[in-house]
Formats: sequence, C-alpha cells, structure tokens
Amino acid sequence: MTGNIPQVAATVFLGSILTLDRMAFGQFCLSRPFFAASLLGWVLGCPSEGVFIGIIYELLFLRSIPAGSFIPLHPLHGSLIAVLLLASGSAGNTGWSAVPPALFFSLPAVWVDRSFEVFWRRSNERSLLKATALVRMGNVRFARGVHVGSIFKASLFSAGALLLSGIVLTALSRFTTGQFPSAAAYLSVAGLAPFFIGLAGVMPGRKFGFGRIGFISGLLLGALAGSGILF
Amino acid sequence: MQGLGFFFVISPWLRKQDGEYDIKALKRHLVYFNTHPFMASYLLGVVAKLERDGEPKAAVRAKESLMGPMGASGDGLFWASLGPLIAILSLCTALISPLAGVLTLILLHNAMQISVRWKLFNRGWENAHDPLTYIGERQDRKVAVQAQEVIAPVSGFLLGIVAMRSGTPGTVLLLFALSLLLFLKGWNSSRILLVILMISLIMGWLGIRMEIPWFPLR
Repeated sequence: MTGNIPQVAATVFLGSILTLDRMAFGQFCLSRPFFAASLLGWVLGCPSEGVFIGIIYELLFLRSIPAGSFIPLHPLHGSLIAVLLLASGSAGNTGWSAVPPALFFSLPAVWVDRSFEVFWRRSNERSLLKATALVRMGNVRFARGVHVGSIFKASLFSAGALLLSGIVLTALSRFTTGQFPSAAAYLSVAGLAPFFIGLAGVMPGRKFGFGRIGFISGLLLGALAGSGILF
Repeated sequence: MQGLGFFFVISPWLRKQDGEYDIKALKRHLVYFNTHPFMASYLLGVVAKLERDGEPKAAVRAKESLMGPMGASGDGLFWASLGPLIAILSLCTALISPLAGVLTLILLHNAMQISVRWKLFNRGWENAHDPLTYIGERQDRKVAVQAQEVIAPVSGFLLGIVAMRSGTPGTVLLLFALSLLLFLKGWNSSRILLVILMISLIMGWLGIRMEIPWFPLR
C-alpha cells in the first residue's frame, strides 16, 4: 500500500474534484466514467487501458439514471478505483491483462459511492433547515454560504469514500490474486462481460421496431469494421 | 434536494430597491424543490418574471405544480435518451481516436445542455404568466423516441467491432443475446451482471479466452 500512496492520492484528489461536477455544480459531464477514467489513466501512465475501463463503466451504468428522487448507482468511484488497481498492479498483472481483474475488484466501489451520496443528501437536507433559520434571522449571506459549503462537503465526503474503497479494494485484490495466482487469468471473459450488459441495457425496450433493422445493419457494419474490411 | 440551489440562484434577484434582501420573498423559495437540473432553468425564468411583476403567489404555485412534470419530462428526454445517445456516439468515436471520443462526449453534452438551459430560461421568462402553454407545445417525447431509435444501430456497430476484435465472435453474440433476453424479462443490471460474471468465470475456468478489443481502428 505504501508504494502506491501517490497513486491513491491522485485518485482521491481527482475523484473529489470531479464529484463537484456531479453534485449539480455545472454538470459538464466531467464526472462520467468515460472522461474520469481516461483522465486518471493518463495521469497514472496507462491512457489506453483507462479509456477502455471508462468505456466499460460508461456502458454498464448508462441506464442508471436519477429518475425523481431515486438515487441510482453512480460509476465515478468504481471507474477511478479500477484505473487505480490497474496502474498500481494490485490486480496481479500489468497492462491489458490487468483490465479484467481491475474491473472485477472495483465494482464494490460503486455501492460505496451510493452510500456516500445517500449520506451527503441527508446532510444537504439539514443544510436547508440551517439556511432557513439563517434567513429568518436576516443573515442571507451566511445562508448562501451554507449552499456553497454543502457542495464542498460533497467533495470531502467523496474523498473519504474513495480513500476507503481504494485502501480496502487494493488490499483485497492483492490478497486474492496472491492466494490464487491464476484467478486473474480466468477473468478474461469477465473483463468484457459488463460490455455486453451495458449494450443490452441501452437498447430500446420491447418494441424497438425500426431499431431492430438499424441494430442488425449496425452489427454488420461493425463486424466489417472490426475485421478490417471497412477501415 | 435542489431547494438550497434554487434559493442560491434566485436570491440576488430578490432584493428590494434599496439593495437589501427581501426576506419574505427569500423564505418563499427556501423550500423543498426537486426537478430535472436542466429543466429547472424554465422554472427559474417563470419565477423570476412573476416575482418581478409582483405576483408571488403565482410564482410559488407555478414552481410547485410544474417541478414534477418538468422533472419527469427531463429525466425521459435527457437521462434516458439524449444522454445515452451522446455517450454511445462518443464511444464509437473513441474506437478511431480515444482523445476524440472523450472530446466528443464533453463537447456534445455541453453544447446540448448549455443551449437547452439558456433557451428554457428565456422561454420561462416569456411565458411566465401562462407557463403550461409552452410545456404543452414541447415535443420531448417525440425527440426521446427518435434518439432511442438512433441508439440501436450505433450499439450494433459497437458490438460488431468488439465481437470481431475479441477473437470469439460467436461467444460475444451469445453473451449479448443472453443479457438482452434477461433485460427484456425485466431483470435489473446488477442481477444480470452477477449471472454473466458467473458464466464468464466458468468459461474462463474451461479455458475460453477473449482478447480485450481495445485499440484504435487505424
């Protein structure tokens, strides 16, 4: 763990900054895993693998949307932890072969991420009461400050959650791959599994009419491109 | 929820002529508020205009009655349709150039959201005294359906490339078909992920391997 302190620090710092974008401070799409994992991958020296991890997480959680007051699973922490595991070699391998185990071991971070958000939202509700009391006393400037503070509190909570996930999952992945050295190799198919689920998830519902013809056409075109005939 | 944010944005507008804050007006808007963040601009326009015109009751009524429908409409349009469309288009671009893919995501998303927010704020201001008319005229549902129809061929394209690059196209298509089937049966992502991961581990144990098909096409 001690050898990875700069990498963990970079992950926690980046995650806490990007959380600001996610918690209604701009929402410029900077907290999406495709951008976040690509950026962290570039910072930690594994840009291509970072982009790939971003793609997998982006697809897997594309339909995980905050409808109404429902708090969905958010892939920011998971994607960052996956890049951290990959870059630090905690998943037992390096380079492309480390992608599947990094994805596998990073998934619990997504649930930790949601717990952090639930915690923050409760805190935000208390902030509303606090601001109301301040306005009643005529202290509007402080009431406005409560809102700014609430946003930065989200960043702080996020940093805590990322630190926890980073330490626990790095240790877990090292212990597991150390105990069963061949486990990472078995995960080759699992590395791509979330991709299929993500793609299936973004397909329109039961009646996608025109979409079926479009899907099959796209599939054929993609197969031609993938086999090198088209490009 | 977003009550504190709405208060933060509207509070500079709610000053009296002498520059002091109008405490009564501020208290009116320091309440529960939850809608789609992009759609909130419309309500902001409506409330700002009505407060300026001295119709505070109408402002509160409009905000309370419209935040639910605007939220539902925005979730369907932006989170469920345009968002996935932009993401999947950028993933396709990333196959050719990773950097271009990331830039596509950021540029398309922000061009869309900033223009929508600006337009909705102006429409809210213009239609403040009859805010329902503009909402009735919007074609959100139609746009959402059209966006979803574009997602299908682009998803197919991505799957085709990944299948060929993995070295085991048949297995890729089978795993995708299984995922789709479970989705159509109403399973949620987490359950499907668990099943597919279990199958993947068994396949890995049996010696089936897949290449991670990531590298630019050129």
